[in-house]
Amino acid sequence: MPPPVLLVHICLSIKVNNHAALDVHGDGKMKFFADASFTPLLARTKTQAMKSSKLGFPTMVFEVARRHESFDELESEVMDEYLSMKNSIQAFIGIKIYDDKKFRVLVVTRNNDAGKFGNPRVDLRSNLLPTDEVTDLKITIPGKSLLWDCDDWIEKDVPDFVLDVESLRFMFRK
Amino acid sequence: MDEDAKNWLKYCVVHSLGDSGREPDWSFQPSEFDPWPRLHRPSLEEDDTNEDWLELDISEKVYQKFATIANYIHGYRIVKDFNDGTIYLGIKPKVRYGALRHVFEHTLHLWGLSNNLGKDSFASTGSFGTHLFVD
Repeated sequence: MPPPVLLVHICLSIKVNNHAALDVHGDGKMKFFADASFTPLLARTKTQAMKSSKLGFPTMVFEVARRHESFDELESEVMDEYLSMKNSIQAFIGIKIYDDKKFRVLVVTRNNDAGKFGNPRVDLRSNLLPTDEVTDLKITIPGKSLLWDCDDWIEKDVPDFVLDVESLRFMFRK
Repeated sequence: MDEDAKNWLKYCVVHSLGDSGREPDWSFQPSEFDPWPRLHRPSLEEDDTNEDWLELDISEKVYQKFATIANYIHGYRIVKDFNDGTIYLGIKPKVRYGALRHVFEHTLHLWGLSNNLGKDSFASTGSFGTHLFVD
């Protein structure tokens, strides 16, 4: 695997869609701002639609916690909002970065055996990690979650998606 | 929204954030700052109040325009939340958000290829333009 700094220079084929907001109106209130979201571009004919995107809900959302927001508050936000039972977001990856060169990682997915959308469950609540030291921590997201409701993959096994936290740490070290 | 209005709103944002943007966010003790301070405006004489600053109520239509300005204060990224006429402000750490997203994109790209999903298997959105309504 190339060093993380090289990864950003590699030409990517994933479509970046900065103009199509992933907005889903329920009661008309605006909720949180994700820092990135990822939606499969595969057929999902039964997926709940959104107002301004035909793609349906993203299956994975990433967010860096706000300053002065506690890790527990971030977790509550995820459980109550991002992975509420009113949408079909399947995985959330959060990073809380502190000013004393420490960070923590939060990963929440859904228990897909529990019902249509699945109850949210915390998969990873990392310890405090230094931003200036190499980490071997890995984030694992079930492949089924990333391809949730994709027509051709509903009945198939999908390998897990594994992300080295080191590749993220490299981007926010100071 | 004209430049005067933008500058006035930015002035309100800076005041409403107060010291919270500059004060450290330590890992070893709870922060004393509200992570979602409300947007305030200077009081006017006709407000008939002794307070110098009052909570600013605006319509969602104005908010939709406001959401696109005053996005950086003191180098920090500012996000805004809207609820029943009240604007809440959040401060994001100084990190390379675009680069972080690219890490996800690249790893997803490789994962998609390894699972025969094709080259364009995922769409992504970045920090701005990602107004995520999840109610």
